Amino acid sequence: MKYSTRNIPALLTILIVFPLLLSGQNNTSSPYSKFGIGDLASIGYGRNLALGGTGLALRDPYHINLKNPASLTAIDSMNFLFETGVNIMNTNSSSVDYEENYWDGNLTHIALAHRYSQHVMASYGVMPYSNIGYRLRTMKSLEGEDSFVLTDWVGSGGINKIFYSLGFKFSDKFSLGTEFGYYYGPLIERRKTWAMVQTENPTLYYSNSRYHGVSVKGAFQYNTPLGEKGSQLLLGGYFTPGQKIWGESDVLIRQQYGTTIIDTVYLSQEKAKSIYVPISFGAGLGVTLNGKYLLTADYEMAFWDAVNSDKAYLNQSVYSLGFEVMPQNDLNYFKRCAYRLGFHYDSGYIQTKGYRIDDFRVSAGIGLPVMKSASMLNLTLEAGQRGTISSGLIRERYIKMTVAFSFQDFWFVPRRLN
Amino acid sequence: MKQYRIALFLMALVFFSCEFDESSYRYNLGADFIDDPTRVIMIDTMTVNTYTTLSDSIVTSRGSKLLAGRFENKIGIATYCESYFRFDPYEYYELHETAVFDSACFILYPDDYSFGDTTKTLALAIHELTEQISVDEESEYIFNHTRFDYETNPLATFNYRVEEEDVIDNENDADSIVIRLSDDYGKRFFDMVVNEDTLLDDKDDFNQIFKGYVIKPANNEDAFVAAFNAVADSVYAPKIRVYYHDFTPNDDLYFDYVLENFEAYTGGDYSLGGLYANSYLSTYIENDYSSSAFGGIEPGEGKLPSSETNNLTIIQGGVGLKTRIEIPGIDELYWLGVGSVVQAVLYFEPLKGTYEEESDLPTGFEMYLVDSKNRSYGQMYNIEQSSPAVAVLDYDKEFKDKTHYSFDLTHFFRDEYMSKGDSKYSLQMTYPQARIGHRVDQLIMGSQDHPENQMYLKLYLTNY
Repeated sequence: MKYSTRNIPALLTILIVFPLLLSGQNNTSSPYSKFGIGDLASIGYGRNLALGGTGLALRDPYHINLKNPASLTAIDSMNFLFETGVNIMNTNSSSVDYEENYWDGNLTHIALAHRYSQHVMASYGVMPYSNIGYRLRTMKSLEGEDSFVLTDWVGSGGINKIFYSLGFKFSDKFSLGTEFGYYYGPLIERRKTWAMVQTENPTLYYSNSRYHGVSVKGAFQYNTPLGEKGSQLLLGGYFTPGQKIWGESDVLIRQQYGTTIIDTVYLSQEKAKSIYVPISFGAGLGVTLNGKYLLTADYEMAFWDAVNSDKAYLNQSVYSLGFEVMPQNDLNYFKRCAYRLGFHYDSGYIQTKGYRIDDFRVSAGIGLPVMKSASMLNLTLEAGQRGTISSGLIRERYIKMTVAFSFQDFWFVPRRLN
Repeated sequence: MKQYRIALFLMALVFFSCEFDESSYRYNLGADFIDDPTRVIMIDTMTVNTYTTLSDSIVTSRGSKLLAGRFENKIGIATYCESYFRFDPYEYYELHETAVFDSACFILYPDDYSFGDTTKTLALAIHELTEQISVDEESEYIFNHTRFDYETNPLATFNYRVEEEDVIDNENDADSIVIRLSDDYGKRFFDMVVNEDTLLDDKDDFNQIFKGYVIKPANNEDAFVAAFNAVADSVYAPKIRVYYHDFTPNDDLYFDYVLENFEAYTGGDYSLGGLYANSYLSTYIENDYSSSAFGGIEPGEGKLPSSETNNLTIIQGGVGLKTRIEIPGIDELYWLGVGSVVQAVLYFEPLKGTYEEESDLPTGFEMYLVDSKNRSYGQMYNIEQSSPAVAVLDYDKEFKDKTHYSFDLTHFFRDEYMSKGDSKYSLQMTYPQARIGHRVDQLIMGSQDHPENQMYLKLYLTNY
C-alpha cells in the first residue's frame, strides 16, 4: 500500500483530543441518565440519524456507515473518508408539578475510513457509547424525627468507545464485516445528603467508576439488483455477543461540618459493579428505486435483562424506518442534495416504577454537497419524546439538531511530477 | 482548502455548545424515583449518666470583685462568701500645719454582679485581719478554701440592698457605700500622715501593721452574695477616706488609702498592676451541703450520681461544682452500620423554680475531657476548631418552662465514634474557667431521669 502520510498526525491528534472534548461537554441533562450506564448515544451519523437511525441495509460510497461494518466495502477504492459531527439539543422536561427547559451539546463522533485492498476496507474512530449528566434533588423522611432528608445528585461522565472495523468484500453482492470495540470511561456520581434540620452538616458522597472492556461484532450485507433501472434490494444484519465491562471505583464519603471542616470518613478503592453490554442483534431491509429513492427499515434487539441482574434493566427493542430522495448527478444544486425522513422507536433498556422509559422520534434531514466534491454537510433535525409523567416520572420532549460533515478526499491519486 | 475550514468551524461549534451547559440543579424533577442509600437517623434515646463533682480547690485571688454574703438555694445548699483585701500606704505629702482630723470611713462601690435573692437585705461586716494575707508559695495564688484570721469585733457593720441605681452604670454616676469608722481607728490614718510616719514609706512595713480587712456577712441569715468593685487603680476601688480641715478658705479636705495595687517581680522588672494587681485579694467560698441531698459529695476524684441527688446535678462557680457526663453507648452506634456523626447536641433544663428571669441563669458553660478520676485532658472545642465550645441558653420569655440550654457535643462524638478503642474520656461541664474563681453563679438542672426537667441527647447520624 502506498498512500500519503500527511494526514496521519492530524488523525492521531483527533483521536487524542476527542475524549477531552467529550469530558468537557454536558452531553445530556436527562434525569434518566441516572439509570444503567446512562443514556445510550445514537449510533450513526448525519445520514443515518435523518433516516430514523437505520443503517443495517445501507451502502454508501461517500458516508461511513458504522451501523454495519460490512457496508464499508461500498467505499470507492481511491476514497479516504472522514466524518465528524456535533449536535445541540433542547429538552423540555416536565413532571406533574415542575417543568424545565435546558440545552445540551455534544460532539457526536470522529471516524475515518479507507481501503486496504480491493477486498478489505477499514474504518476507525471514537464515539460516545453512553452519556451521563443528571442533576436531581430527592427527599425522604428522617428516621426518628418528623422531618426530611434531602439529597442532591450530580452525575457526569459516560462511556466512550474506540472502534476498529473491517469490511470484507466477497463479491459485488455479499460482504462481511467485523468491529472491534474498546469501551472506556468514567461513571461519576456525587451526592450531598443533609437533614432539613441540619443544613450545615451535609454528608458528601463521591464515586468515580472507571470502566473498560472490549466488544466484537459480526455483520453481513447482501445486495441484489431489482430489474434494470438501478433498483436494488439490500439486506443486512449483525450480532454482538454479551460483553462484560469492568472497572475500579473510588468511593469517598465525607462528613462536612459547617462551611469548612470536612472529615473524610470513608475512602475505598474497590471493584466497580460489573456492567454487561448486552447480547444484541439487528436485521435490516432496504430498497432503492431507480437509484433515486431509498426506503429502509431496521429492527434491533438487545438483551439487557438477560445479562444484568439489576431489576431496572429490560430487554430493548428498536424499530427504525427511513426514506431518502437520493442525490442525483445533476447540474442543479438542489438535485445534488439528499432529502431524508425517518421514524425511530426505542423501547429503552430501563424501567422505573414499572414504566418503560421509551423514546420515539421523527427526523428530517438534508445532505448538502460541498463544492464539487463528494463531501457532504448533513443537517438533521430530530424531534421526540421520552418517558412519561405518570407516577411522578418525567416526560422529556426534545428537539435536536445534528450537523455532521462527511469529508471525502482522494488518497491514492499518484502525484504527477512536473 | 475550504473543506478543512468547515471542519474547523464544526470544532468551534463544539466549544460554543458548552455555553448551553446549564449549571443549575434540576431540582424536584421527578425526584422521587431514585433512592439515596444514605440514611439519616435521629436518636434521642441514648443513655446519659450525670454525676456532680467538686473541685479540690479554685483560685480566687487576682479577681476584681469583693464577694460577700450568704445564700441558701432551693435545694438546701448554702453558699457563703467572705473576701480579703488590703490597702497601700498613702503616698505622703505635707499637710498644712493647722490640719485637724474630722472623720474616716470605708468607701465601697457596688459591682453589677450579685447572686441570690436580692430582694432581701444583706447585713455585712468589715473586720480587721490579725493574720498576714499570704499566697501559696508554689503557685502564688490564694484558693477558695483559704481563710485568714480576723478580729472578733467588726470595725463596722452595714446593711446592703441591691437597688438598680446603686450599680455603676456610668463613670460619673457611681453611688458609693460609705461606712463610718470609729474616730479612734480612723485617726490613726490621719496621724500617720501628720507625723510623717515611716510606715508610709515602706509598703511591707505598712502591711505588717495594717494586715488587711475581711468583708463578710454579719449574721447567718439567708440573703444573697453581693459584689463590690475591686479593680486596682480604679477610682471605684475600695478605700479608706480620711476627712480633715485646716482653716484655709477651701477647707473641706480628705485623702485616701486605696486598694493595694500589687507590684510584682516579673522576670527582670517590677510591674505594677495588670495580672498581679490583686495578688493579695481573695475570697473564701464555702458551700454547706448538710441540709441538701448533696451531702455525700467528695472533692477531687469523687462523683456523686444524679440518681442519689433527686435526679439533679449542679454547676457552680467559686466552689467548682461540675457536672460529669458519661455516655456509655457511643461505641454501640456501630451496630447501625458504617456512618458518621452529623451532629450531637445535649439539651438540659434549669430546675423549675430556681430562676425568675433570664439574668438568673448563668451562661458560657464549658466542656472538658476528663478521665475516670476527673483529671482534665483539655477543653472541648467546637467542630470548626475555631473556639471553645460553650453551652447556649435558649430563654423562653413567654413560656418559661420551655427554657433550656443546649451544648453541641459533635466534636466529642465524632472523635469517639471514629476511634476504634474503648472510650477513654468522659465529659465534664463547668462554669467558665475565666471567671470561675470570682463568681458563685449556679445552675441546678435535671438529669435524664428527672420527671420535669429532663436532660436528653439528640444525635443525628448518617449511615451508608
